[in-house]
Amino acid sequence: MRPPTEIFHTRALQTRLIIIASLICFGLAIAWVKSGTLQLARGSALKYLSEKQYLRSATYNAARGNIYDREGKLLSTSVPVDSIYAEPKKINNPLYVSRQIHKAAPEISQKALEKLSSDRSFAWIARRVDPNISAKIKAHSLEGIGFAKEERRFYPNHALLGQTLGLISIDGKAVSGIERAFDDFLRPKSYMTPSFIDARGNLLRAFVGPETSHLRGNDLYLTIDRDIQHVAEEALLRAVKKHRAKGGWAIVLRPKTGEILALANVPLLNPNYPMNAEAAKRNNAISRTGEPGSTFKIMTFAAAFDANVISPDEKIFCENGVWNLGYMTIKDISKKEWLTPAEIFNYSSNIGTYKIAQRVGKQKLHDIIRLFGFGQLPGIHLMEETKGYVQDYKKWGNARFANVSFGYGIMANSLQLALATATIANGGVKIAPKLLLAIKNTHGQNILPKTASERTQVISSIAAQKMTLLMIDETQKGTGKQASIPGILVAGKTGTAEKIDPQTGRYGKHLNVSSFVGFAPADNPDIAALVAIDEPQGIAYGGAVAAPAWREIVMAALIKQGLISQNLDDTLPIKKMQKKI
Amino acid sequence: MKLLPHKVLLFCVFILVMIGLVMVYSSSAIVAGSMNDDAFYFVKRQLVFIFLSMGAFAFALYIHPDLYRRYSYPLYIFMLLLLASLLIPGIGKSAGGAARWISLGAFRLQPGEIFKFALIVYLAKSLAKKASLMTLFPVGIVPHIFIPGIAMVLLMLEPDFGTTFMVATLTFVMLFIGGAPVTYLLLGILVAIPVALQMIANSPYRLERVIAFLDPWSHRQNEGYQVVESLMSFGSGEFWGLGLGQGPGKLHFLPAAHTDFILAIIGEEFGFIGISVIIICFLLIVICGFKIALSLKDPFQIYLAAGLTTLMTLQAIFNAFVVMGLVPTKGITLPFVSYGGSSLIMSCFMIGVLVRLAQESTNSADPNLKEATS
Repeated sequence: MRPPTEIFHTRALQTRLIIIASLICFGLAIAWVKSGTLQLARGSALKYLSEKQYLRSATYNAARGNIYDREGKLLSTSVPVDSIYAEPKKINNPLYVSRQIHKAAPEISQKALEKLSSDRSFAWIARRVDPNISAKIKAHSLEGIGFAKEERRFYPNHALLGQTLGLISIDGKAVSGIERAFDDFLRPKSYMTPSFIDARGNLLRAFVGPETSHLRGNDLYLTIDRDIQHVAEEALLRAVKKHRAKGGWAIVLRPKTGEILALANVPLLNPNYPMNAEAAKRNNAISRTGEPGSTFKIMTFAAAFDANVISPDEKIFCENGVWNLGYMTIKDISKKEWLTPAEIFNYSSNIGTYKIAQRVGKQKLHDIIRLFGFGQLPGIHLMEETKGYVQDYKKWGNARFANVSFGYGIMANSLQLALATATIANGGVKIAPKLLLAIKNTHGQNILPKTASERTQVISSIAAQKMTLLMIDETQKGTGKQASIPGILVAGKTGTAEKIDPQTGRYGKHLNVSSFVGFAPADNPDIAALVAIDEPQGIAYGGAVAAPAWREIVMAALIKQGLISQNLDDTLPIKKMQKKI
Repeated sequence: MKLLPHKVLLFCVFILVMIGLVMVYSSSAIVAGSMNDDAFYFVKRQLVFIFLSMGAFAFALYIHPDLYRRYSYPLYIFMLLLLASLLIPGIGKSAGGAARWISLGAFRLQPGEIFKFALIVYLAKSLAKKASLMTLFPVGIVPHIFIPGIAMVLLMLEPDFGTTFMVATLTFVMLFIGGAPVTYLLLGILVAIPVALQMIANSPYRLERVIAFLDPWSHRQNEGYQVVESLMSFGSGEFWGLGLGQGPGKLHFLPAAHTDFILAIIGEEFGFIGISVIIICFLLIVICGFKIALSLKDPFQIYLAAGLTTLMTLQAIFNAFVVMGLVPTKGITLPFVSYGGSSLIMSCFMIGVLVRLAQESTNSADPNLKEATS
């Protein structure tokens, strides 16, 4: 038996124990309630804050889509290459590391190597380097130097289609051309992923994420034909070299569908080396605007045929080559008296053309020019496309009217001119140009919306056929003889547009853009093309400078389509056509 | 089978240790991988600690509680000397600016963890001895504040505010259980508060922690960083959690994710459900621990059981409070769950002592064991 005090003691002790146990349980209950408020009441808000902190938009591992030509030949792709980074905090002897890297790869800039001695935890030394450079540095196995795989754009055909394909900057941004215009499709889908970030928000290392092939960008299939593109570039290079020209460009397209088969620019741009090509970056074929010159007479004649204001047999007085109008004096190179419309076209008489334009009238000529697409974006969706400029006819003075009729006083790019020619070839129906054939997703499905291409009747089909006959004449009797192809009817127009000398502000006699625009076979046009040679030295006539290159390119295109037939008597189709009209 | 307190206790500890092992892996794999190129670095070590803990637990089962009573003073003095030795340069292993460790080859010993056990044994013996004299201030109060006070001074010099705070709290709880008058205890708290405030104000890093605690969100770039990261991780789990291994908090964001802040990662990956399981486990440990204490007859054993239970569960509460931003950051681990050898081994050892005490109470029919030595 215990004494009574001890019993009391035990009871009091029990009470005290229960008080402490209850207090501890109360503490646990507070923790439980607090976890409820944090996780249930404030959970989603805290989660949002947390995600904002660690989730980064990333495309690690996923590749950009490829670009193919119309036959599925690869034009642009992405290959994994090494990017070199440093963890300067881990480097004990930055001077030694820097010297070793410099010895192995002198290409790496001194500025990048200075980062080695900083107190950062991470710094890029060189992004997307050549495999042999990274191999050389890897061989040294330097402390604090690491390698991360990054995608680098690679163009297997080197300079082929360079300006049109466009450039990707060293940090992976699409800068120009198709790469930029269709970046939304090509770019790998980004996804939010945890990033290795230290307390200061520095990226600690490139994340090697999970399988991300499903995030790969879409593949583009262009309307471009790699073979025709190649021939176009070769022909341009030869013509530019032969005539010691500044450059040149060519456009090949299918009049019936608006599909662009080639879009060539010389000097060539090799997009594999985006840094070394400042001069060649411009895509002149679609971006350079200028006064089109004689080739633009096609529009004036097309308007005249459409308005039915000329007949093939009539003769128009051409003022012996000089026509003083008071407000201006128009001069012709060939001094002629009376010429038929066809002769005016073939001799490229400015006087005769303006006389025809006067019959058409300002408004009609303006409207036809607009309908052909001048003054508007051609619509191949590249950033480099230009609109050109066509002034409102109400503001045209007589001099401006005269100038416009033979291709001055307006601004146009070569694609607009080629498309206008294709419109003639297509029986007066304008078709929107196309550069994209398909956009295929990772499952191989075409996601390019199938919309019927826009068709506009610009001139009547009779007018278009009359225009075609004139253009056939040009290659048979006129200045475009060098564009003719045996066995095939060729329709075309030469042009020698004078450029304004930027130094004098006047038209320079030796600053020309010599061009040839046309289509073939004229009786069933399959190919339309434009070739322009910029500032040729010596002979500058379009017929002599651009027509041979045009012929070479179009022949190659026709051979590719299987349309060249040596057995055909080239007089037969034209007779058939003449009978029809 | 009857649900005996010590069986429930063991079950809860087992659950906590297993959750701890999994979470140590989940929360340390990435940090370990980038530090040592071995994602399992901390898990392997924790496994070693678990085996050692089982040994410590078995060892405790075989030691008669009277042995602690007999050697309580030498043990306490030895532990004081060990704490003092931390202050000698070259012995104390500095971690995070504080000398809390003694290096033992591949592992580090944290004397503070063992000291807490020694303190409980000392207080249990001394309070049981004083018994009815507890109401006398010079006999019942002064020595029990002065002797732990020596340790508190040594701990503050390390400095280890977390352990100091635990020692102070434990002393007060033990004195209360031991029958010290409540007025004296309140007086003691009134004295302790200005001392604690003075210590906080004198130490820049402690002041930072208090500032961070009071308004973590406006100091989230510096002082409040850890608290804010902890809150964001913890809250992100919502009800069900993000799933094992899915929490981003351990991606270098949350410092000490596998040690002091492992509960934040548990909250993140297992949500409210996971936290509830942890809290229920500790709740059962409290209930079982005090049930064992209440079933005992010998005051020393009662104090010992209550003290050990209080130590383990109070640590859990304060750890949870820190993780949830209810108290300033202090450096207290979550018993059984956090990574760390000293804490785990000592916690399991103390569980072993508790289980042994439970066995004592069932054997209390034996009159030989009831006899108290003084």
